Amino acid sequence: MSTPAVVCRGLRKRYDDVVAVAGLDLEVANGECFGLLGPNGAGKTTTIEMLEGLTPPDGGELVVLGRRWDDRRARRALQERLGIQLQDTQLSEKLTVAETLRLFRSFYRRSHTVEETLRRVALEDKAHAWVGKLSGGQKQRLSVACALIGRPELLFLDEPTTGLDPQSRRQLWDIVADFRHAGGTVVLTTHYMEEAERLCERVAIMDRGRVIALGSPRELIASLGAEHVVEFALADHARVPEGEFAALPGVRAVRPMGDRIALTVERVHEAVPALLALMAKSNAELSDLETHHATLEDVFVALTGRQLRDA
Amino acid sequence: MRDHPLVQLTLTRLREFYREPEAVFWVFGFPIVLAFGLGIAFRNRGPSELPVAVQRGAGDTALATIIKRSPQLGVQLLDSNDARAALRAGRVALVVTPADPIATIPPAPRAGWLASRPTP
Repeated sequence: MSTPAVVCRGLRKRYDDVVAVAGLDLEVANGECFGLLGPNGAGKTTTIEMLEGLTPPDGGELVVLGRRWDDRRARRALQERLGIQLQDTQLSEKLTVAETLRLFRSFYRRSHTVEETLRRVALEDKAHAWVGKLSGGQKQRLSVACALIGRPELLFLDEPTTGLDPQSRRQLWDIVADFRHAGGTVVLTTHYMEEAERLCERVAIMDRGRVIALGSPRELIASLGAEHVVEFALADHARVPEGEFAALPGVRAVRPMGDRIALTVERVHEAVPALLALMAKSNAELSDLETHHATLEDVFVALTGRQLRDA
Repeated sequence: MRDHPLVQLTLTRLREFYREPEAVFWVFGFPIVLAFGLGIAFRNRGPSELPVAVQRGAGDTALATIIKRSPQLGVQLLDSNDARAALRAGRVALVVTPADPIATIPPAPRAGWLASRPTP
């Protein structure tokens, strides 16, 4: 493997009395898709802005594509090698899609043609539509197109699919996959676990400005020790000691979540009958029962005790 | 050349501008409307008719006829007292008293400030 696309050591940033990033160590390999996950306010956007050179870090070491942002002469050259999609892009509403891309294209010395970029993001038939008339998904694709038109080696996407419908989300995933296929490196933030599991080779789960877990989605899920989650609720607030659940066959962990309880289990087909038998034995009734494959969401909950989306 | 960032940024600004009809109106239309409005409100009017009284007496009608020849003068015949009162109150700018030397005055006023006033 060649030099990593991004290396940061002990990266720190604070805004007045809020510590946004508190000592972050990351390494993103060339050609990799790296995901930064975490709840709102975890420091994802601050981190990605420091990597993009938009926000100077307060401390720590940061090397992007072998260069440093504080090297003023390298700055411009480095900027031309990056593609950046900000969390919220306000493009001029009165320009057409093609005009917007032509404008962005003019900022780079080497770039794709407007037509080719439009084709990549599947907006050819909207080339002459005003930006203000586009749908949310189309706008998001256009902002990715603006990031892609300068032939970047490293693409930053900050919550690219937040607020999009499933179909638009899939279209964006395809664009990212195409870019990766052509050898590009991607760093993205998201709070959709599904997206991270699908796109990213490695993810870092962030919470309160720190990385609390790092690895491939599969590894992180495997770190729970079991692959399935059984969630249930007891009817009429019946109380059964947690120890009894932990003693069921194949149960690795018990997590109370409000009035629900989540069990991390190895084999659903053993755990569920045992759970039902326990219910019958303790005269309690289930008001709800569901099982699913363990996801990164469960990893986050297991690590922090909080839900990811509304933490 | 067309792909130079400065050209593209300038084009962008121009497009954003002319695609905003309100902006175009306020920049180009409104100043013209304003210029017309203010022009009409503050235009120069020609000097208005100057009221002149002719005191009643012998030869007053002939005198009044002569004065009336000038479009810039308005003439009224007044009695001596009324004429003085009007002069005092500023209702007339001048009281002309008919007397004998009138016969020697030429038919149209020629000398003095009346003759030098520009015709509108």
